[in-house]
Amino acid sequence: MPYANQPNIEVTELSNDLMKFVLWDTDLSVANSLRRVFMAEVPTIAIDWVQIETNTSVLHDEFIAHRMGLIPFLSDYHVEKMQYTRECECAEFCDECSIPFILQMKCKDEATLAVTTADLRCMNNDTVIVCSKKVVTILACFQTVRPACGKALRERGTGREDFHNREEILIVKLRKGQELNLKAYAKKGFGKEHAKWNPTCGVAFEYDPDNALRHTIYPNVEEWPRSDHSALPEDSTEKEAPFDQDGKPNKFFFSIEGTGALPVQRIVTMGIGILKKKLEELNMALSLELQAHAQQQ
Amino acid sequence: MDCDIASYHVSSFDFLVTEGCQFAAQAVPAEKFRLKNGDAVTMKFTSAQLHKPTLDNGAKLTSDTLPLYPAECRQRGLTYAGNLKVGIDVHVNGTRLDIIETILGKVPIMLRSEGCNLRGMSRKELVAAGEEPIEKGGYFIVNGSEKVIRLLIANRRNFPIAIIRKTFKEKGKLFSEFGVMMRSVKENHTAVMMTLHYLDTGTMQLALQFRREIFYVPLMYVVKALTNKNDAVIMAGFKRGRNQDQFFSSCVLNMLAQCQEEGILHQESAIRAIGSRFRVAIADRIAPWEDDLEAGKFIIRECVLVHLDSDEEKFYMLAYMAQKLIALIKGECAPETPDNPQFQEASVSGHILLLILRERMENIIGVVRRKLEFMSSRKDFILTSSAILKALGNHTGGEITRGMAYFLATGNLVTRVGLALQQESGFSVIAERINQLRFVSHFRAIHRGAFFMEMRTTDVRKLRPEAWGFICPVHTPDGAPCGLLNHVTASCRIVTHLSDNSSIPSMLAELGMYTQKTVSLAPPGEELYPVLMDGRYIGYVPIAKAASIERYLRCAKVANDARIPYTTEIALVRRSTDIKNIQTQYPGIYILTDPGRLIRPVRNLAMDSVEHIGTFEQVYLSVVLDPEEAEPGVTMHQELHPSCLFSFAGNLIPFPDHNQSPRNVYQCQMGKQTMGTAVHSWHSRADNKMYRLQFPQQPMLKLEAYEKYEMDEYPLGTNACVAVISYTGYDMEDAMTINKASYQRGFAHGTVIKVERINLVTDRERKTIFYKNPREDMKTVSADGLPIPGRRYFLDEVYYVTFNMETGDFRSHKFHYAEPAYCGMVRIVEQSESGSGAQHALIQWRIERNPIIGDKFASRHGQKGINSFLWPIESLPFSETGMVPDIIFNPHGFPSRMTIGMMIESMAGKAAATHGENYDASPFVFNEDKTAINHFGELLTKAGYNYYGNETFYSGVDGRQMEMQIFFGIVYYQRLRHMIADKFQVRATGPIDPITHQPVKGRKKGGGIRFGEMERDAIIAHGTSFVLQDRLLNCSDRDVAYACRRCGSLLSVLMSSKAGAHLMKKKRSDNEPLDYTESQRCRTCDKDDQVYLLQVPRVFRYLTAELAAMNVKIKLGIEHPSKVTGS
Repeated sequence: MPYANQPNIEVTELSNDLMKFVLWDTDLSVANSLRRVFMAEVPTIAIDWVQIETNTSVLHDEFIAHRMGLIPFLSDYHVEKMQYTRECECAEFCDECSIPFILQMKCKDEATLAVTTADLRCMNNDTVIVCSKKVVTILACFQTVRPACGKALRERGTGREDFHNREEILIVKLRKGQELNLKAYAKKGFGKEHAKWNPTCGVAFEYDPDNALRHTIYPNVEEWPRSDHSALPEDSTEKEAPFDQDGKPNKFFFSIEGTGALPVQRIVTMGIGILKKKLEELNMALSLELQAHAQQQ
Repeated sequence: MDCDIASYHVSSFDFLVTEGCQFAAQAVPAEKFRLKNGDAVTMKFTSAQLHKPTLDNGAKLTSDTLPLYPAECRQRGLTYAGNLKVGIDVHVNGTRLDIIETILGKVPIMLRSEGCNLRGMSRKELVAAGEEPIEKGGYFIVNGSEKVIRLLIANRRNFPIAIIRKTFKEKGKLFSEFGVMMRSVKENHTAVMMTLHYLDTGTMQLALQFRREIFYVPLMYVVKALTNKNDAVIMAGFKRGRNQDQFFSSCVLNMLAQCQEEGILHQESAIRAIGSRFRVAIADRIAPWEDDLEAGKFIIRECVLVHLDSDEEKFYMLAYMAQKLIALIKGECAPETPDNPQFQEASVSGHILLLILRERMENIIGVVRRKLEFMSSRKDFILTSSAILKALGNHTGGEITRGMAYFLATGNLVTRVGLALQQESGFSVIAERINQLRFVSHFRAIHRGAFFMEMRTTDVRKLRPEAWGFICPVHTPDGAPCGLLNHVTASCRIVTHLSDNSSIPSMLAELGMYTQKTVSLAPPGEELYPVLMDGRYIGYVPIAKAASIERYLRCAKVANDARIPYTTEIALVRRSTDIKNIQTQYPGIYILTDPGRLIRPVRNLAMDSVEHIGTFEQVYLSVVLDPEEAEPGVTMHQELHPSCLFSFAGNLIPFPDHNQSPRNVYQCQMGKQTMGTAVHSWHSRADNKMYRLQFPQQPMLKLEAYEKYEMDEYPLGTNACVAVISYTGYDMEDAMTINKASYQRGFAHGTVIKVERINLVTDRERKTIFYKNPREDMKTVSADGLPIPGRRYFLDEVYYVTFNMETGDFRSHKFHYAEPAYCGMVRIVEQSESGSGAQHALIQWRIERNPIIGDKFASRHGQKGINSFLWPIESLPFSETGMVPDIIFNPHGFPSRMTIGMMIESMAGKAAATHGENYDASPFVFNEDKTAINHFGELLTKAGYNYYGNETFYSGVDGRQMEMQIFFGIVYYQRLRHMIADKFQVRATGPIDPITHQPVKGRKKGGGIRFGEMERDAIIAHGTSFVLQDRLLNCSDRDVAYACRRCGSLLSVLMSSKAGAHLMKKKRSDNEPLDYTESQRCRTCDKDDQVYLLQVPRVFRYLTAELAAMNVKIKLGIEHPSKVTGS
C-alpha cells in the first residue's frame, strides 16, 4: 500500500462550532480512533466540586450541583496549562489544578430571578493583586476560563447568532426570599471520566457515500436519501455506485460539532496530539522494556 | 372528556352534606320504650347538619374557631373531619319534652366537597393552602393518610331482574331455579333485597330480608296484606296485560285458593299472619304495647319494596314481578344476570358513608335508650333534657368519630344490619401519589366486590358488550383482580343526586299512557306495554304508540325540559317479533332516574346536542362512530369522540389502535408505576415514600387527552433516542443498554423522597423532647437535637437526640437506612395531646436514585426492560449525522409483542423532533386508507430522512458500516419505580437462625435466598454432589456431634470425666486415685468405646431432640469409616 503512511486531509468547512474535513488515504481504524479520541480524551474544564452554603431554591442541592457540572467552560486558553487534579502535587485544590468560582444570589423582588451562568464569579478575581509572575498568569486564566455561552462565546466568534435571548445558561430560578450561595471548583478532565468534559456534541464520519463497497444493504435503494458527499452525478438515475469488489474504505468525510468549550479546530489538533502522545508513551514504555530485557540477558 | 377526575365522589359527598344527612336523620326509626316509672318515651332525630372542619376539640362552635386545612392534617397526622350536629325530638307520654341540639361526633370530610374548607378556592389560594394547584379532591384524610372509597358495583336498584340460578333450588323444598330479584333502595340509600321464587307446585314465594336473615312468605300473603280488594279484583290486577295466559291464571287462582284454605280471608288477617311470623325477629323495633298488626305493617313497610310508599303501588309492582317470572318460566323472556353492566350501578363514596352514618346514628339512639332504661331504675329519676344529654354525653367520641375514621382507615365495615352492601372489608384504599396516573386511577377504579374474588367461574370477569363506553376494556390489572377491578371511562359520570321525576307520570298520561286507575277504560283487545319508572309500575302504553312516546320523552330530555331530568334513562324494550324463537327482555317502557347509575355523554343527532345515556338504555340505542354509518330511522346517536371507550390511563397510550391489546393492558399498569412528578407541594406533604424524576419532559407525541387531563402539570418520562439494534449482547431478553454520557448528563435521574415521622409522645412517655446535650460535641446533629438540613447521612450516624425532661437522660438515635440520604427538610409539628416542646418532627430524606444496572424502564407500549449496561458513548453506534442513541432496544422485542404503536411512535417522534412540533397520537385517526406509517414516513422524507426512519449506522468500536439499516427514532420512555437498590439481595455470611443454625430469610434481615427443592433437583441432575453438599450442608447448618454406635443415639453422649463415675460408686477404696480425664461417654451404655464424632446438619440434631420430647427415638446405624470407604 503506497499511501499507507501519507494520509491527506482537506478542510471543507470551518468555524468555531463546526468543522468538516475529508481525510483520505488512511485506514478505517485510524479514522475511528480519531473520532473516539475527540469524544473521549480531549480535555476540557468543567466544575467538578460544589460546596453549597445556602440553598433555599426549589431545586435540591444534588440537582443544582449536577447542573453546575454540565455548564461548558471556555477551556482553549487554559486547559493545556492546567494539571489533572490526580496528577497535581497539591493536597486538595491549588491554582495549578483548579479554578474556584462562587455564586451568590438572593431574590429580593416580587418577580422571579433567573440565576444564570452570568452570575458565576471567579473567586479570587479581584482579591489577588500580588505582584508576582505566577499570580499574573492566574489572573489571565480567570478572565479566560468563563462559561462557554452568551457574551464569552460571541467574543470568541460563533457561527450562530440566533440565541441571544437566552444566551446565558439558566441554572435555577429564585422567587422572593430564596437564596443560592455556593462555591465551586472547575477542574480539568476528559470525556471518558464524565460526559461533562466531552468537548464535542456530535462527531461523525461517513465513508463510501454511494455504497460502492456494499458494506451495508439498502433494502430499497430508491427510497434512500442521497448523501451530501455523493460522487454520482446530480441527475443520475442510479442511487448506488456499481459494486467495487476489492475496494476498501479510503475516504472519510468527518463532521465535528463542538459544545463551545473548545473551538473545533482545537479539538482536532489536540485530539491528534493526544493520539500521538499515546503512541510516544507506548514507544517509551517499549524501549524501557527492551532495555530491561537486554540487561537481563 | 375534560380533566374531571373525581367529580362523582365529590358530588356524592355534596349530596351527603346538603341533603343526605338530613334524610339519614329522619330515616332512623323512632326509639319507643317504656321507662321503669311507666313513662312511654319516644325519641327521634329531627335534623342533622355537617359543619366544616375546625381546629377545636369538638365541643363548641364559636365565631373565632379557626378553620382546619387538609395540609395541616396530613402533616400532623390528624383526621380531616367536621362536626355532626343533630336535633333529637323527645316525647314523653305523647307530649313533647324538648328538641335537644347536640354534637354527635366528627365525620371525615371529603376534600373539595361542600363541607370542605378548600371548596371554591382558586389555583392560587390552593397553592397557598399547601395543596396541589389542580387539586380535585374526592378523598379523605384519616390520621394523616389519604383514603379513597373505591366505586363498588351493586345490582341496579329498583329494577326486577329475571334470573335462572341453580342454587335457587337449594333454598327449600319444591323451589325451582327461576326467580325475579329486586334490590329496593330508598332515597336515603338504605337497601333491601327481595326475591320472588317460583315453586314447582305452581305457586310463588317471596323471600324477604330483614337484617341479613331471609324469610320466605307466600306471595299471596303479602299481596293480601297490601290490599283489601277481593280475590276477583286481585286476579284481574295480576292478569292485566297477560290475559291470554291460561297457565298464569291458574297459578294465581291456585295461590288465592291456598290463601283461602289457610284462613287468610282479608287484609287484616294477612297482616296479622305476617306479623306473628316475624314478631320475634323484630322484637326491638316493635314497642311492647304494639300488637301483631303493627308488626305486620312494619314488615310490609321495611321489607317489601321499600322504595315505594303506598301499598297500592307495591301491589302493582308485585303483580309485575309475578308476570315477569311467569314469562321467564315459559321462556318468553330472556334470563338476565347481575354480572351484566346493564343491571349494575355503582355505590359511590358519599352514598356508602351515608349508610354508615345512618346506622351509627341508629346505634347511638339505641344506646341512649338502654342507658335511660337503666337510669330510670333509680327511684328519684325524672326524665329531663339533661338526663338525655348525660346519656348521650359519652358518645361524642366513640360511635361516630371513631367509627367513621375506623371505616376509612381500615376499609372494614362494622355493622349489625348489613346495610345491603355485599362485603365487609376492602372499601377504602390509600390514594398513593406515586404519579398523577396512579393517583387518578384510584378515583376511577370500580370494583366488582370482594365476594367475586374467590369465585372460580370467570363469568363475572368477562368484558361484556354492554360495558362499551362505561368501563375501559384495557385498564384492568392482570392476575387475580383481572376483570373485577375495572376503571370507568374518561367520560363516564355517576348520578349522585336524587332527581325530580314527579312530573313524568303526568307527562306520560298526557302522551296517552293509561295509569293503573284508567287502564280499565282502555279499549278491550288493545295490546299494551307496561311502563315502569324507578321500580314503580305507573301504567300502560298502547304498543302502537310506544315508539313515538319514547321519542317524545327523549326529545324532552335533550331539550332540557324541566319535567324530565337530563340524567333520565328512557328505554323501550320491544316485544319479540318471534316469541317462540327469539327471546327479548321483558317488554315495556323503562324510565330510570335513580342515583348510582353510570351515564355518559353522546351526541343526539336528531337534536344535535349532547345527551347523557345510561347502561340500560344504551342497549336499546344505536350509537354510531361515523355519521355515515347511521341507519336511517334507527340511529339517533353518535359518539362524541372515537376514544370514548378508554379510561384515563388508556387514553394516554399513543397509537393504542396499532398495538396488540394485552400490551395496552400492560401499559395501563406500568403507567401507574412510573417515576415522575408526584406532587408540587413537597413542603407540605408527609407521604412515606415518593418518587421524583429530575428532568421530566413532555412527550413529543401527545394525545388529545393529554392536554385535557393537564398531564403537563405532572409529566412522567423523557424523550429518548432509541436505536432498534442488537448491538452489545447486553440487550438480550428485554434488557436495554443506556448511553453512559446521556446518563451522566441527567437522563432519567431520579430521587426517592421519604418523610420520616418521629413522634416522641407515646401513651406512657410524654416528657421527652428533641434536644441535644449542649456540652457534647456532635457534628451530625444541630443544636435542637434534629438532623441538619442539607447534610448527607450515612448508616449508623447519629441523626437525632432526645432529652427526657424527667430523668435528664439524653438518647441519641442512629440513622438506619443502608443507603445514604440527604436531609431535605425538618419540620416540627404540633402534638395536640401533650404540652409543649418539640416532640413531633417530620424529617424529609432525599435518596439519590440515578439509573444503574438493574433499574426498570418502559416505553408507553407495555415494553418494559431492565438497564443492563451504561455503555460509553464513543463505543455506541453513530449515524452519519453524529447521532448516538440514548437507549438500545433489542429488535427481538417486536415480533412476538406486535407493538406497532411503538414503531410508529419512534418514527413520529423523530419527525416531530426534526420539524419542531408536537404531533397527535390519538387512536382511530389513521386507517387502512390513510396509514400512520405513510403519514409520518412522508414527514420523515421531508426532513431528509429515510421514509421508514432507518439510518445507516457505523459501529462505534471499529467504525465499520453496519450491514443493515438501523431503525432509529424518538420514543417517550418512562422510568419505573422498581429499582435494584430496593431489591438486591446478596450475602456471603450473615445472620443465622438461633435454633436450626440455617441462614435466615428476608432481604431486610440480611438473609439469604432459598436454595429450594427444585434447585436441589437441578444439582442432583448435574451429578455435582460436592456442590450439593457445599450448598446444603457446609454453607448452611453443618455441625458436628458425638454419637454412640452401640445404641445409635445422638443424645446420650455427654462429656463426662471418669471421676464422676467413680464417685457414684458406693464402694470405693480411699487410696484409689481419682481419674479426672474427660471423655465423651454414652450415658445409656455407660461406655465410651464406640463414640464417634459425626458431621450432621444442625437441624437434624434439633429434630432428634424434638422427637425425643415426644418419646420417639432416632437410632442411627453407624459404620466405621474404614468399612464404608471399602465397599
